[in-house]
Amino acid sequence: MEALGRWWFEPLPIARIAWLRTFLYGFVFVDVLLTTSWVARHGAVSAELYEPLLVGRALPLPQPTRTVVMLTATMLLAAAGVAAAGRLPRLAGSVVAVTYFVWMVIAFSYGKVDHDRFAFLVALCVLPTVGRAHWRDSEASEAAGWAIRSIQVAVVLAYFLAAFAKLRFGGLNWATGATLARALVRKGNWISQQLFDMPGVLRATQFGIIAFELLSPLLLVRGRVGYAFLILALLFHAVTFSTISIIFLPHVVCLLAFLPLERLGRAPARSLRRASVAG
Amino acid sequence: MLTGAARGRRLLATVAVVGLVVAGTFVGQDDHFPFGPHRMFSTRNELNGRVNSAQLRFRFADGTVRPVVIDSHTVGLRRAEVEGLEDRFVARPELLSHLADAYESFNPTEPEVVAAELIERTTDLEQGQPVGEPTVQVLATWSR
Repeated sequence: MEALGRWWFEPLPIARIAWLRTFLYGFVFVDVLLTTSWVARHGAVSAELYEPLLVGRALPLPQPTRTVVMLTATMLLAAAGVAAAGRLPRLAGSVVAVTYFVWMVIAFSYGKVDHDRFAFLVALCVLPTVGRAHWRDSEASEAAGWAIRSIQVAVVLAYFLAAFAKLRFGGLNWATGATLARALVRKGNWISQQLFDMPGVLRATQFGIIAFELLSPLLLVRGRVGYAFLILALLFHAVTFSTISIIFLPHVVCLLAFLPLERLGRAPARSLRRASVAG
Repeated sequence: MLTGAARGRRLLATVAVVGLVVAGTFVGQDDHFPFGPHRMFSTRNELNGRVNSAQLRFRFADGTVRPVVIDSHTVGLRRAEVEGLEDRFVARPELLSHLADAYESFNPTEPEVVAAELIERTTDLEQGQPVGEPTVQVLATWSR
């Protein structure tokens, strides 16, 4: 337990927080305006089809009319813009976390809940807790460590627990079923049509998915093992996207927490110095 | 360095969130978002089973009848959402009027939608491969 606490609070570079903020708050724009722009179109749907999630019923949230959807999006993007620039990290970051959560209730209260947001929501909750952070900050802190570890663990939990959800809903023999075949029938493209003709490949892939999910804690291993698994994860998402056009993008951007993003800030500084020495 | 209190708050939040998401995996439902089970593609499909997908057909004021792709761009909802609400459309077919209304709001230059049919398309699988032509069944109809 103590070792776990030491690991979770180990000081990590503050600069990585600054970069994560830029990328993740920046991604809010991509998410709202491009990749899941369908959320905004819920504003055009009658309130009679609105079936709020538990949190939506528990909190006094307004019915998502056109105006409510527009106001929520405006507030969310304004706060994300400020936070991505590293300004008012606590205030703007907290506004993003709250309004994004409201946005999620608007998104998932019409008969379908997506499962690609857990790590991203955790990230939005922990990023404001670090306070001020600069892209070239060379210090490390426990606050940054806790936030980064929390995002990393959330990513791993999302994979790891998905294996148990399959066990719960699909049973022990999920991997021998036709789950992927179903996905191909519903969402397939020309690449995936070729897969129907390769008996065994789909089932082998299903075993592979379970193995991948159960082994996902390896992402947390330092050094080569962790990076190798990170590449495997990216490949997994690339293949899923190319065959059934599904990409868990908000989850994928959280994989950034495993990279030494702080080096992005140092590299130009070093080359500048080298340039001045040479000059 | 974090103070003892700051560390305590973080520990508490960590334990609560991990506890909730683990519990959600085993006993939760989608309704418990964001702590519901990560159940994407978690149900098992029989190798010799069937795959269903919803379709929508509109009749317009000019007499034409056309299938309409179910998507947020056309009716404000994604196909999986319409499928998730299927029981409600079957119980109260007049709810289909909301999809027609949304369609009209996105396509103001097209003639009015005067009737709608929600259809279920079923593809049979044999050894995990689709066989034969899909069958179609009308689940709900509504007209103005």
